Amino acid sequence: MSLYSRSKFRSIEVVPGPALLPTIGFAILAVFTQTMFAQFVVFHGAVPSLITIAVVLYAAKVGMRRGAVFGIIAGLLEDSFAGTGGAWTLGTTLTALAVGGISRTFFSDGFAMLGALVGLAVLLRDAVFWGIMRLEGYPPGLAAVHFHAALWQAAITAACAMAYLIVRARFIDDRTIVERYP
Amino acid sequence: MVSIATYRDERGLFAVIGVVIIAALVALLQIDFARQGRPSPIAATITTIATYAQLAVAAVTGGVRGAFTATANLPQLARDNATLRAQNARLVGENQQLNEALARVPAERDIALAELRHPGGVPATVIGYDPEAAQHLVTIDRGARDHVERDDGVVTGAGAVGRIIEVGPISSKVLLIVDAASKLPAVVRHGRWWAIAIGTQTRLKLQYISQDAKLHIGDVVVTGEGRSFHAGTLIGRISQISPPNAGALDQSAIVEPAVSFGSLGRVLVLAK
Repeated sequence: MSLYSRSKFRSIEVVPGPALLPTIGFAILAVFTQTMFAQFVVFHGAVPSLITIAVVLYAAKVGMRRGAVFGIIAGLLEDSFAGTGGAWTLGTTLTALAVGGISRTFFSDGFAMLGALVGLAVLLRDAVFWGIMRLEGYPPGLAAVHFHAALWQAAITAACAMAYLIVRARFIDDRTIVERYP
Repeated sequence: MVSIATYRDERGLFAVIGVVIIAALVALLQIDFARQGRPSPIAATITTIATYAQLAVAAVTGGVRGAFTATANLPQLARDNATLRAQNARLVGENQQLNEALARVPAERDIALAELRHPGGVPATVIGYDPEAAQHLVTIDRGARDHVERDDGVVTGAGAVGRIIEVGPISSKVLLIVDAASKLPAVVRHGRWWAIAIGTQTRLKLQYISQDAKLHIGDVVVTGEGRSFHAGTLIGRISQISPPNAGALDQSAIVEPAVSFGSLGRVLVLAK
C-alpha cells in the first residue's frame, strides 16, 4: 500500500473547505495587488502568481466542481485586468479542474506537496494561456522566452505558496473529520 | 569641715585638663601649618566634609526648586509641547510632500516636453500593469470620456511608448512597443531607411531594412507615418546589427528603446 495512495482506504475525510465568497474576495485582492505592484516584483521576467496559489489551494481542498467555479471567476477577473480575451479564464479553470481531480489521489496536506502542486499548476496554466493566445493570433517565435519566464514564475510562486502554508500552519489548525466505515 | 574629692570629681578634672591639652596640641598644629603656609589636615578634612555637605544640600535644594518650578510651569510646558508637536507634524508632512514633488519632477518634465511636441495630447497616468506580466501592457486613467480611441499613439517626452488597444469609459489599455504583438513603421533617421519595429519583450527588432542600408551602432530610429504615430517620434537607438544572411534582400537590427518602461508614470495620449 503506497503511502501517497489512499484508494484502498475505506474511509472518507470530510473536509470543510473555505467558503467561496471569502475566497473570491481574496482573489479580487490578489489580482488587484498584482496589477498594481507586479511591475515592481518582476524577477527574471516573472511575478509570483497569487491567483494560482489561491486557485490551487482552494481546488485541492474542495475538489473539482467547486474548484472550477472559483477558477472561472478568478480567470475572468484576471482577463478583465489584463485585457486578454478569455485565455486566463480557460487556463485557470482547467488548472482548477486538474488540481481538484488529482488532489483526491494523494495526501495534499503537506506544504511541500502543495507547493510542488502550485509550481506545476503555474506551468499548466501558462501553457494553456499561451496556447490560446497563439490561437487568438499572438505572434509565435517567443516560446523559449515564455517557457523561461513560466519556469521562473513556477519557482517563485511555489516558494511563496510554501512560505504561506508554513506560516498558516503555525497559526491555524485545520479540522479534518474522518468517518470510517467497516 | 574638710571637703572630700570624690573619684567622679577627679575624672571631671582630668577630662578638662585633657581637653585643654588636646586644644593646645591642635592649636600648636594649626599654628605650625600656618607658619609653613600650608592648610592643616584638620582644616582640609573639615573643609572637604563641609564641601560635600554643601553640595548635597545644594543638589537637594536645586532639585526641589526645579521640581517646584516645573510643577508651576507644567501647563506652559504642555502648551509648548503641543505646539512643537503640531509644528513637527506639519514639517514632516511638508517634507513628504516636497519629497514626492521632487520624485515627480522627471515624470512631469517628460510629460511637459511631450505636451510641447504634441500640443493636442491627453495627459494620463499609468494606474496598472498586466497582473501576470505575461504581456507588456499598462492601464492608464483616460478613456472614451476623454476622447481616447483605439490605436491612438502613446508617448512620453523620451519617445514612443505604445498604442491603445482597449478603451473603457474611464480607462484604457496600452500595448507597449516592446511587446511581441507590437509592430510599428520605423525609419532609421540618418539614412531614411524604412523598417518594421517589432517588440522582443525587452527591446525592439528592426526588420526588413534594405540590404544597402549602412547601419551603425547608435543610429537614431524614429516612427514612420502610421496609424498610431506621425513621423518622427523617437523610438530608440540601434544597439546591435545582425549580419545579413547570404542571399537575403534585407537585414535586421536590435533597437534599445528610448523610454524606460520600468518607471512609466505619466504619459501623453496622441488623440486623433
